[in-house]
Amino acid sequence: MAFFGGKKRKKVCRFKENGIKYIDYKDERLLRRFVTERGKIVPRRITGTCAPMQRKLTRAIKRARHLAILPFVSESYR
Amino acid sequence: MRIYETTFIVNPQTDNASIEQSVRAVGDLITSNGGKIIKEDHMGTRRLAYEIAGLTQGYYATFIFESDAKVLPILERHFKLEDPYIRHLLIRFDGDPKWLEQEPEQVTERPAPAPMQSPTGGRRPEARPGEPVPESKPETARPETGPVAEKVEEATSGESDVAPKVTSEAETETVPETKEETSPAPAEEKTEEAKPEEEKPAEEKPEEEKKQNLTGGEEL
Repeated sequence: MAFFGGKKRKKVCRFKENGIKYIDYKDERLLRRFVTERGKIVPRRITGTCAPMQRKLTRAIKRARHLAILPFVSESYR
Repeated sequence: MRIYETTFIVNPQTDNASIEQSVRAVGDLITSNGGKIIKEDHMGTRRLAYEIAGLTQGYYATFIFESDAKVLPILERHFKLEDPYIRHLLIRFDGDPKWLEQEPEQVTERPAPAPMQSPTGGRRPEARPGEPVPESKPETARPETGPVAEKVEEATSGESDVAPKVTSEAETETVPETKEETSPAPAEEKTEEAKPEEEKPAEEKPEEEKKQNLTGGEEL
């Protein structure tokens, strides 16, 4: 699907696809996927997440950070 | 009456009984102020992503409850004044209503944190109340959970027969799929992989920006 000649590849929102409507801030495994190694939130232009879900995701990640489930800055980069 | 959710971290460096007591104190506060606990979940002791007050681990517990708003300041005060609570989050519940119907299973199915050694080590083996170690020792964990958790179980067990299956299926379906897609590739790398696939117009600038961001970020 990915043509390097400059053709687009449609990115699909992972949450929409799987019918996930709510994101649990305690679900570390899920949230980890949307955070860089460094601990930054991955922009949706890269993950393809739809806007409403990105908003929820962001909120969940920030809550998780507060509860030390996710790092603000990962240990190795501090 | 609204549904709220509170998750808090208890200092694990005290003995089992006092952790349990600290958790129960929260539950009691809720119920004694006219709230109703819908779900109680103990994630147990797990590693903190960063140090809080010199601690590297914490005992996590969650309550989902229905109550009037007047309970919230009482809870907040309790969390702030009492020492064993090292972090707390008190929010209006905005998760999936389905999560309310299930047995604590939904959250429990998360891998139980491996028993970690620490200054506190050694107390682990003596069954932790309400600990999410589902398969291994449910009998030991459950009965000791105290009055609160039993209520929760009773309350939810009736409706939960159908619900957990549905959602757990949904979860098991979704999780692996997403894993393949996004996945283990560390995000920094991912950005680079993604670049060639990016739309043309979008490609030019963001790419430069990305590079700057990446390098800049790295050096910081």
